[in-house]
Amino acid sequence: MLALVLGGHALLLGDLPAGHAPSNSVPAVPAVPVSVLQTRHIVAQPVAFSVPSTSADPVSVGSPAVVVKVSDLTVRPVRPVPAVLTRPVDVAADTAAARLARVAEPVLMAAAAGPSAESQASAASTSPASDGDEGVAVPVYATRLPPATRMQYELRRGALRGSGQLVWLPGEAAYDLSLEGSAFGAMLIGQSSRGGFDAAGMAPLRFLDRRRGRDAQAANFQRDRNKVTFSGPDTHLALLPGTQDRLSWMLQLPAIIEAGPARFAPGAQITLFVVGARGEGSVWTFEVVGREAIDLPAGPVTGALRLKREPRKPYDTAIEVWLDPARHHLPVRVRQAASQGGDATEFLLRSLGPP
Amino acid sequence: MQMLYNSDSFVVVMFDVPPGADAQGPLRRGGYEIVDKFARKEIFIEGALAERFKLGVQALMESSPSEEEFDEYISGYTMLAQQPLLLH
Repeated sequence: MLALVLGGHALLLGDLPAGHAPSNSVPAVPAVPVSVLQTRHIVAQPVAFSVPSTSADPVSVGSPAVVVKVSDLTVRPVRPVPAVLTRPVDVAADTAAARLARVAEPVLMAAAAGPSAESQASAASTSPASDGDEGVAVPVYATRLPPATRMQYELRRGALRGSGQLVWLPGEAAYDLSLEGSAFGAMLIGQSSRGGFDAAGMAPLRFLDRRRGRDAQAANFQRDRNKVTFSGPDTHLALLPGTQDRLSWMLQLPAIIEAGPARFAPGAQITLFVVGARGEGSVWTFEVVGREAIDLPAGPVTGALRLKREPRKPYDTAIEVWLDPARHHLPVRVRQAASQGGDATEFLLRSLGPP
Repeated sequence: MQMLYNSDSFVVVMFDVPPGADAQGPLRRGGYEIVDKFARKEIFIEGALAERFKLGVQALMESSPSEEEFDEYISGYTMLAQQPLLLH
């Protein structure tokens, strides 16, 4: 290749009249090679960017909606159910919880009773028990919601870098919340949640999940009928007090902690029932890991409260979240395992301001 | 200038120069700089080639690719940087 080019130069130079030949007879290489595609060597330090360690990724793969039939429940090993939690949830309990919810201490409610004859009699798909969360309590917490905010994030997925934005618009009786993320000009995440407020805090009405290359899917919280229905799968879940969607938890969690930060020392747990747009719902238990100093594009944050949701069964989503006490405990860093395999997605705060 | 990709092997940075007040006409210069960390070379692609590169990445992103798959795709473009092209 190079020989060809040099040969070409030699020929060209040979064709020139003798008077135009370079006087000091430099070899037949043009003085300034004009490169269309520039290349240059990089000296010494290759690249100063650090590569985030992803070796410790818990690989938790999300499922397309898994609906477990009643027959499956009977063969599933059952965790012992604490005596205080054996009360199955019914509509009456819902209203009782709503009345009690203003009490500062969480009101314990059973998300699902063990597979007693009673719970098996009810349709499995209408109860969280169908998700294998037998005997886990979903309390109703006091909440204190942050003011309207627009948060800009740096988004990371594996080696990909992009940007994300969370917009939180609370009104008197209703809210609008959206989370978007993109990289290379393509949308990676597009979620929105809107709804109102009740004694349990955020009360979603509709959750929309748009993903690149797929149709938007929705979860509809039918509060008058106490159930959650979906645009896709023909199934429904019971609507328990305090139920969140896969976006609203990002505000509900800060609101719970903001209402009583002293209660959430390392080891403390927050349990939410979280519904996705594909007919899935499960109990998410966050555990407070502790306080950490972290560096973000927005600057250092000291004393960020780190919480972690450990996957408890296959297809659970592993989540880590860092909440900044100085910013209404809003999430300044979120790390979420992929729902369909692949790398975890991470959001790192770039800036925060009014919407 | 915005970093779009940073793996053990490659860095991709986007340069987008928007038409400023003093810019004449719709001229818009921008593209991707791809750095091959091991070969210690870089290449800047723009125009149609940059567009093709972007569309390829977007198509790849739909399948939740691994870092290795991304690197392999990008290496197809850095091959260009290994052979300096000399033109008149």
